Order: sequence, then structure tokens, then C-alpha cells
Amino acid sequence: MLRSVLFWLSQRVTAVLLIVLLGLHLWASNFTTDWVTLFKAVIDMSLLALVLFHGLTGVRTVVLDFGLSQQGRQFLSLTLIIVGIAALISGAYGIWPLLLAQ
Amino acid sequence: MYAWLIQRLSGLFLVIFVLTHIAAIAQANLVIIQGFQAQVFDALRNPFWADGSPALIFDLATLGIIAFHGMNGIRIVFLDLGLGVQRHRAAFWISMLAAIAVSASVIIFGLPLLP
Repeated sequence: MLRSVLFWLSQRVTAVLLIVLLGLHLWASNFTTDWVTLFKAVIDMSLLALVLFHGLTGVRTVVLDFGLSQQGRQFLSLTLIIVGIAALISGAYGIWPLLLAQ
Repeated sequence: MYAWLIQRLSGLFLVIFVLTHIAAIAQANLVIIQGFQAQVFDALRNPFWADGSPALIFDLATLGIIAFHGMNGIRIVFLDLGLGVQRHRAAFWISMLAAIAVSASVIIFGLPLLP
């Protein structure tokens, strides 16, 4: 029960943050050269972590709506956590050169 | 009901897009193939210039889908706060207008700023 509420609430909170971060990401990556690279890297890392959380939690919600056994739920959670961590590492590896660029 | 369904479908599309986007940039940094990094960043940076390229259509479609998902998402947050429950139908169309406005402003004001 509490877990469901927390997932629901975190989806809403990350949704609002993502809209702000996405605007900053679009601007920082394409339309400005003035911003400090550290600032860009912080934007991108926050966006990366939040978007993975929001997206994979969303996938969890969609899949759970089809109905799963207890074992299926555990397998789903484990899969999503592994995908999330792998994408987080590979994303951080993509952002890293930003810091070396200047 | 349709808004709910489209929100889910667009969400699933965006998860795939985000994972691909992350993988593309990370792989670009593995400079195994000579000039691959430059190619990937060129494609990411200049998709709108690539005349007749599928990248143009894909990027515009993704922009629209992100705008839809985001603006409809704001409507859902408002609904959960108890705002606009009685006028949720009007709120949907307002969020659609907002999505069109966001996409249009990125295209009209953003594109000319590309270096």
C-alpha cells in the first residue's frame, strides 16, 4: 500500500522535474555554448537518473496492469533494476567527456 | 480513456527512445571505429539539416510525442491535485494546444539558433 503510494507520488514529482530538466537539456546540448560544462554535466546526470527512474517505473506500472504472479513481479523488478543500472552506467560514460571537453 | 492509452503507448515509445539515445552517445565515446564519434554527434546535432533523411521525420515525431506526453502529464498531475476534474475534457484539449505550442516554439525559435 505504502509502496504503491510512493511510486505514484514519485512518478508525479519526477514528471514535473523532467519537464524542467528536459528544457535545460535541449537548450544546453543544442542552442547555447555559454554554459559551464560542469553545469551541463549536472543537468544531464540528473536528467539521466530521473528519466530512467520515471521510465522504468512507468514500464512496471504498464506490465503490472496485465497481472503477474508474485514470482513474475520479482522477475520484473529485478530486470528493470538491471536495465536501469546498465543504462545509468552507460549514460554516465556518455556524459563523462563533457567534463573533459574544457 | 484514449488519453490514458496514448499516454501509455507514448511512454513506452519514449523509454525505448531514451535507452537508444543513451546507448548511441555512450557508443560514440568508444572511439573504436575511426570517425564514428564525429558521425554520431553530427547526426545528433544536425538532424534537421539532413534533407530527406529519416532522422528529420523521426526527430520531429519524437519532439511531438515528448510534448504530448509532457503536457498530458501536467494535466494528470493537476487532476491528481483535484484541479480541473469536472472539466477534464476541456483540459485535455488545452494540454494538446500546449503540446502543439511547445513543439512549434522549439521548431520556430530553436532551429534558427543551431550553430
